[in-house]
Amino acid sequence: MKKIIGQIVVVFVFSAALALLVNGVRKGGIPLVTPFPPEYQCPSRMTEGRSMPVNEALKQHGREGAAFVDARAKASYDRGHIQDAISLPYSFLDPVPPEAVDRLSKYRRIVVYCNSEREERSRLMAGELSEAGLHEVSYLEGGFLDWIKAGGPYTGQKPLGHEQ
Amino acid sequence: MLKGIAKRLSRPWFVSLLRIGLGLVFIAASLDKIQNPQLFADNIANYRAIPYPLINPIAVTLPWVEFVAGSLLVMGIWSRANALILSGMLVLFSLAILQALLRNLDISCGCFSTDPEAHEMTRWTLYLNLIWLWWGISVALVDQGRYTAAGALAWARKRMRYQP
Repeated sequence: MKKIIGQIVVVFVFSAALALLVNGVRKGGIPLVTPFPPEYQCPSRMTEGRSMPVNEALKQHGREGAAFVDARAKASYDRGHIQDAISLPYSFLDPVPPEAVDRLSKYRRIVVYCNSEREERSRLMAGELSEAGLHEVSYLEGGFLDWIKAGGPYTGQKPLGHEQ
Repeated sequence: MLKGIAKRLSRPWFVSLLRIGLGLVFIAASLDKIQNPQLFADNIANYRAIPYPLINPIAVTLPWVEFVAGSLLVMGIWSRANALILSGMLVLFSLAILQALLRNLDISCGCFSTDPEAHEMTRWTLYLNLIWLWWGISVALVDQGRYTAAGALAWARKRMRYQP
């Protein structure tokens, strides 16, 4: 048993040393110590935005002062998105950047969407944008998939199902 | 009957197959994480179970532990120790997935891909992890050190001696 514990320790130490070496040398290495930024606020306060049914969102689309915000990853947005939507990938770890909030402040009504079954990403993002002081922020019920099913205009590919 | 099945399952070639398979699974799982440490750090953060300062160190080292332990397992070096390491990791992964499911977090598991849109986490993700766990424990308990890289080398040397 002692021998096995020794081997486990050796494997861990060797792997960690290799990991640190590669991370230090490579181009895309990440910092090991990441102090909390002073402006850091946990976005997962579970404050959720107001929901908006698809039929209501369809009426809003294209209206002056209304913006659709895509909370999914940029790669998903590039594959396909609601027509004229703004890509603003939401991370559960980082707060929405203040510049993005500024950019959205010119709109009177904002509809955030994602394409997951439980819409968690868009719900949280809508809540965070509301708390940041933006008016009339809602999240799209059913996300991108239900938008397409309801005949909403989109650019790129149709999603085959719900994503994350 | 059960004895017969157990006897067949503990045959050296079958156990070695399990060992090599488990090692290859972990090597495959580590590659994308090693390539994209920042995305993997985001995946870890999405679980909302790890303290913020530990996220990056884990994102850097964990894939290398998977890679090194998986490679050693494939080669049959310190098989029991490496199978125990991977089993321990699978216990932690299963707990992390379980808590995410209980908290209804809408996230990707980050098991094989760091793409946040890659795989929706469902209870099947947990079941799959538990199967891997059973697999890892089986290897740790019954591997007899057959069909290893050292064995293959010894066999090759022996053959070379007979063919001057």
